[in-house]
Amino acid sequence: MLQRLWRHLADTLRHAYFHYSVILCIAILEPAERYVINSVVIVVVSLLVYATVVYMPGHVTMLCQCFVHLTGIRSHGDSVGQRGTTSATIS
Amino acid sequence: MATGRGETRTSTVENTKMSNGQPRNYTNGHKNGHTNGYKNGTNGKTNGKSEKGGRWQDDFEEYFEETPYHIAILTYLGYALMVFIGHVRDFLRYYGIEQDKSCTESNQEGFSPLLVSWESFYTRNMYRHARDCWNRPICSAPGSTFDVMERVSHDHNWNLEMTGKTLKVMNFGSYNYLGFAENKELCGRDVQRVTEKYGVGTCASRQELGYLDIHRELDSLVADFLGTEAAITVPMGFATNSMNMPALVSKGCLILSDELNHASLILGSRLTGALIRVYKHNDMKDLEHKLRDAVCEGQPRTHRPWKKILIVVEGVYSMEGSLARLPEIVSLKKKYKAYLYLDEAHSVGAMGPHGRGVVDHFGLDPHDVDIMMGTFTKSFGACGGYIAGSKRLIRHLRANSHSAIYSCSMSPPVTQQIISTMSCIMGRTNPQEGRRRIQQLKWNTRYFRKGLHERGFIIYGNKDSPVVPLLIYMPSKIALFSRECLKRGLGTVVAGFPATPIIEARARFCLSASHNKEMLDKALDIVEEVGELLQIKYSRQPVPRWTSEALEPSPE
Ligand SMILES: Cc1ncc(COP(=O)(O)O)c(C=O)c1O
Repeated sequence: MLQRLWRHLADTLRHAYFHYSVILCIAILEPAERYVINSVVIVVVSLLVYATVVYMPGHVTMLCQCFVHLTGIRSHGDSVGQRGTTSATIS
Repeated sequence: MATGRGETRTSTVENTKMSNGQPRNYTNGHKNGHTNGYKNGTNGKTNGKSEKGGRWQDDFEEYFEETPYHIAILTYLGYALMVFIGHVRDFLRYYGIEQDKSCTESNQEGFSPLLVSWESFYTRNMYRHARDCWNRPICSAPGSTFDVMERVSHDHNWNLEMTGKTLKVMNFGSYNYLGFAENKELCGRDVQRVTEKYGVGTCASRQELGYLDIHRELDSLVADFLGTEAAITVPMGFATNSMNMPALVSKGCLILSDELNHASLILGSRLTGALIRVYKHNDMKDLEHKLRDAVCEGQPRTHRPWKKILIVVEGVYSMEGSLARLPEIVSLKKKYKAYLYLDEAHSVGAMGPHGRGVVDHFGLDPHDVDIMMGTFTKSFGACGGYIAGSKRLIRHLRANSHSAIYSCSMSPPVTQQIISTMSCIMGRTNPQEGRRRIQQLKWNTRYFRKGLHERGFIIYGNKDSPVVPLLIYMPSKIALFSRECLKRGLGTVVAGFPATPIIEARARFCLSASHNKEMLDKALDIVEEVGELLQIKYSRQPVPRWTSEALEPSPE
């Protein structure tokens, strides 16, 4: 069962990689070029993911705050939210 | 998109648009007689629709589906990445970090480099990756199947080596429309007899001692076949265009040329010294606009009238699979008193109920076309070209054309091959065979196009054109398509950037009367499989209506 699942996953991954390489034209490039491009893509994607994970929650909270502020709805939760944002940004 | 062709366009829509401005009169007796008989024979659906507009539109359907946006963007992205990598590699080569294997000259002090251009960059850094898909050596006759020599590369396609093995694959790439490329039983004996009698070379030009009796026979046979007064034949198709056009027009004349005309026509036009104006592919409004301007304004600066105006078109366009809209062009040419030069390289033999090309397909009068040109390299399985027209025109060419004066005349076995195949098509020898081949080709064309449409591929062109371009778009997909098809036993031609616009790379299938239904089915299966693998079923338009009409059984 687990083996089947594993094979299925491997197939899907291989398929996805093939398509990725066809679309970026690296399927017909030399292995060295392919290696470099893949590394660049991996670095860029991981940076993006990192940035998303680290900065996104803070940003969203801040935007919410901003929205709330603009629409003029006030509540005493404001200051708490503010503090939450700051802490998220710093961590 | 970038092509500006708009949505899948069928001609009928265009036509109604066109007719708003000026009345059309394609109806001449001759044409109607022809068209009716033919159309009813084909699919029996022309029952008094647009009575006054000429009936050819009813059966004239062409498809040019627009490039999907996301595909266009991804294609540009792919090219951009390859260009970027190419620049990086060139940088490394320039500083000697990497060995330069391309042909560049050593740095010479004070000389500007000979081989630095976009073309050499393209060849070195982009074309090379897919080099094995072109210039493949063949080692058999280009019949319905042929033997392709296997090549491998050990240094990333800089050098290709023969392995000594051959692959037997189906041939969907040669222009062997009527299947005459391998015809031992049909004309082989005649060709052999003529070779024994005359030898292979004529060793003289036509004006000197190279004019044989079989050349004379061929000239008159071509004229008979096409229904013109006279014809002249030339040993090379490319030279027929490029060497004869300068004998017809000169400085002070205007050439109106379709934007997708073949290189030989472009070269010929340039050699004439006339002014060349290019109109959009098959766009009759643009053509009329340019014609009207030319007639009204005359030559630039002096405003004298043009000496002559020549419209240059092809019958079947070899990269698009589209047909010239000949009835409209003829009526425009008559209206503005211009001459018409029609290149039937891909259509003679392959189009029309009698195999006489697009003129026959539309049921027009051959006298309406002033200069009919065509080649023997395609449907006739031979070599060379012809120009047919009025007696005066041909006499003029005999005396003035470069190809008749300076180049050796046509090889006798080739001449005999053309005579034999042409007689066969005309039904003089072997009455049924020529007709059978024409019908088979027509059936094959419809069947194959229908199959591709139904499988969701984007294909271009007229439903009756035996050239079937299948759009692939992305540069890596063209290379992989060619390799995967060859691996599975299907040999075909792919074409990319310099030959097509950058986002319209394509594969091109050429159908032949020597294919049978079994082979077509096999080929369709292979294309389906490879299409599935590479995900090139881009079409989002409904399957064209004509494909749902029942196809009569294969005439085998
Ligand atoms: C429209 C057109 N004209 C002329 C030629 C040249 O003919 P040939 O191959 O006989 O030299 C071709 C060849 O592909 C062609 O497509």
